[in-house]
Amino acid sequence: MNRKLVFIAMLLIPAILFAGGKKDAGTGAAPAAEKPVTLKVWESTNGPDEFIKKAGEAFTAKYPNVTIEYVNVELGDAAGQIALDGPAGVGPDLFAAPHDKLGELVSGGHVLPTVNADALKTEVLGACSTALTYSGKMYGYPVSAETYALFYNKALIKESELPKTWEDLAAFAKKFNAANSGKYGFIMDVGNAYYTIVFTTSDGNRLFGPSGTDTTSTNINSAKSVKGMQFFQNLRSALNVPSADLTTSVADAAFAAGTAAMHITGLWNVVPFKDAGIDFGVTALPSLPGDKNPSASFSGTRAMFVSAYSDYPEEAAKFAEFLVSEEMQQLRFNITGALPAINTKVDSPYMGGFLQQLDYAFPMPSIPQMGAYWEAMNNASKNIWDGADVQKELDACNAAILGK
Amino acid sequence: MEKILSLDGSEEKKITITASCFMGLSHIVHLKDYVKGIFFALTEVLFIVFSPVIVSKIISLITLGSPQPDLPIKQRSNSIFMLIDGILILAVIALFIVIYVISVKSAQERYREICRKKSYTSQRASITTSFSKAFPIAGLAPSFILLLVFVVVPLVFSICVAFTNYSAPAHIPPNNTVDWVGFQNFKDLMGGQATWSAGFARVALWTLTWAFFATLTCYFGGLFIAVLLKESKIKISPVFRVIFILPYAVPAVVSMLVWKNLLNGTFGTVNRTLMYFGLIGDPIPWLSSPLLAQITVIIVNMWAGFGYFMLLTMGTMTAVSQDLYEAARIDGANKFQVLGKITLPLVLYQTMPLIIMSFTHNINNFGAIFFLTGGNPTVVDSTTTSAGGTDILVTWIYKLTITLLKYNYASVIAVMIFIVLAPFAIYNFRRTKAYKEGEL
Repeated sequence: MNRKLVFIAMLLIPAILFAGGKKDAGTGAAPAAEKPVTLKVWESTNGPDEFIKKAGEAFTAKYPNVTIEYVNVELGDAAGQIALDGPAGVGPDLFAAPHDKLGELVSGGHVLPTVNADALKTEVLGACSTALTYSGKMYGYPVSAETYALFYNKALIKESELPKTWEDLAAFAKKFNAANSGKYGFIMDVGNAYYTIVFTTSDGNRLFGPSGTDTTSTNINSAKSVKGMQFFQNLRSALNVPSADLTTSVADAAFAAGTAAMHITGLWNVVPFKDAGIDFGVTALPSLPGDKNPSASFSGTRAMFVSAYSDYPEEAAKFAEFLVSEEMQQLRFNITGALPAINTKVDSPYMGGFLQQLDYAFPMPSIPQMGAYWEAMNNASKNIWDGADVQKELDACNAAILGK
Repeated sequence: MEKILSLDGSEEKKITITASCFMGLSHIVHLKDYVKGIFFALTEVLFIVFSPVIVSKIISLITLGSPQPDLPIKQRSNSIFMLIDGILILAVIALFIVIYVISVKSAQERYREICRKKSYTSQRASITTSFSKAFPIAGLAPSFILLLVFVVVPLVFSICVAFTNYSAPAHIPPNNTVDWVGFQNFKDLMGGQATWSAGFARVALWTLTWAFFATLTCYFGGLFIAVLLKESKIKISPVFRVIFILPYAVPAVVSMLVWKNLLNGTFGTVNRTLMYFGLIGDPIPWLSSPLLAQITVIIVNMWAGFGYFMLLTMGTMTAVSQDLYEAARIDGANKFQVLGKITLPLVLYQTMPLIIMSFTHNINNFGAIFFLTGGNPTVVDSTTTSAGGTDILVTWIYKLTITLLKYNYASVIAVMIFIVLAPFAIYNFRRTKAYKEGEL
């Protein structure tokens, strides 16, 4: 008899739990100002999680009825996950995603537009608000920005020698290579479309047009691109290493070992290079032949989006806005070391170069065709570096992106 | 309803027709086997009750949904769910047909039995026989259903994808729908689209070359070392055995990544050492020239895999009867003759199924390629197909699905691999003694 009771009790427990869960959601549907609200936030580990927890505490101190619950969903997974979890009712109220997922998120109806977009636009960096604008409307709240720039090893190159143009860079590298055997004047990952896009951007030539949304032409095989990539091919004379040997990890390792004077990489490498004991600086990229300004790079924006499936959109928007405030942006920089999304003064010798480059960066396009861009342009870049016909490679790349 | 059947077997046709009209009908009406009849009838009633669902799922399977750009995404029809649901429903229908056939057969059988005994058996007796007959079926049913749902349905699903246009950017659900395209993908990969076909032919040819040489080098490398260890009379041969098995014991992912760094043409230790000692002037492009990279992966794979075959052939060699060796020695055979006429034939005979298994394994040896070269270096068609010079079909499938989202082409390749590998698997399976001597 006793056993039976236990068995029945075991059956009942989940039922009670489920009933409890339902009830909670029920009351949540009608939010009242003073009712306790729990906002679920998706963020990555290694820094952003700590920031969200601390910011959550600060926000709760300000609005006692709101508590922030952190859930680990990595940045890259969030956009895919929200499509499943949102409709199922187990999704977050806010989630972090890179801006290039915006097209997918908006066309999927997973995110809500920014509240007070006009006010926010004046506060955040220009590159960030453009990146988060999709067909004229702004979505989400930028929390950090990202781009890559030219790193230089102060022991190997003097600040006065820093190249202003790519030709200068090639000339310096050739001279340096000849003088220092086993060392490289310049190194970069030549098989990575994230960096090689730089060479296609002369004179305002942009991937998928100026707005980054033109699906009829990629501009990747336009005359300007071909010219730029031909220059890229000639750069081989300043860095005579086959593309298969020149991966991101190899280039990073060479710079960290002090065998490369210049390297193109991003913020994520500041700490590793510092730990490796390299005395380095960061500056804007050189300019392409015929251009005056530093060549354009891809910029990325990490944004906090309010889920369209949230029961508390108002509170969620308030928290997201709070994350963009000066105080929180400083806190975020101190924890993660990532570039702030607003124009605030941060205490780091490396940020100047990135912020300078950010002025000339353009948001990575967020249209679905970008998915095909990476693999095609990676391979085209490798083949071009190894001596293939530039026009033919870029035509093939264009066709692959457009799915022809 | 009480009808008297003629018990001379003349009414079998009537029984069959009644049984075919509605499941279990003849059991109830003619054969007085009510329990069984009701069970069959209930199955059919259940099927009829759910038939609207079944019909709508089948229609979805055929249409795979129509584009509904005005609806929010979560309300749009998801072609891939429709495809999976449809295949599941097909499995249910197949199950239903099987039960239907069983019910008709069972009716015929019972009628024949009644004719033979010239009387109706009691209900109780019929239940008892049914139960004892149904026991193996009931026992196997769960595993059969699991097999159907978790093996057959996914298999059929992945084959079906080869006949759709499930690919980025225009046909990825739930944003967009997927449509049936017949043999279009097969045509594209076999001559329809020049670059893709050339890429496919290149990768397929390399896959077979790779599998052949990877198996050959590992097997004979292992055999060679095993013979050497057995024949040499050094005392510490167990120590060598341990050393030789180490590469096999280290996870391949780790050792492949290490080799990748060692063999880097410009920055790798191997070339730098050779250049330091002045053995070579220019770096050897281990992983950056397509042909040399192919040779490199075969050699590195041999390094990682020969230990397994060394142990295997060693084990087989100890099983060879000493009498044979003794007889050979008395007859005056030298060591090479003993090796060539006794050891090798016996070992080869014993390990042949394993060589074939190893060949099929190597065709799908993802890790050896992906972690060592990642498919690099790039070749002429890489920009379009994303397949590099050392990519084999599986690593290409990985790139096609994970980065390019071209599930249709990936599925075609998977089907082709299946067609190539299935004969090997069946041959190997049929050779095993368990199959020959088993009751099946």
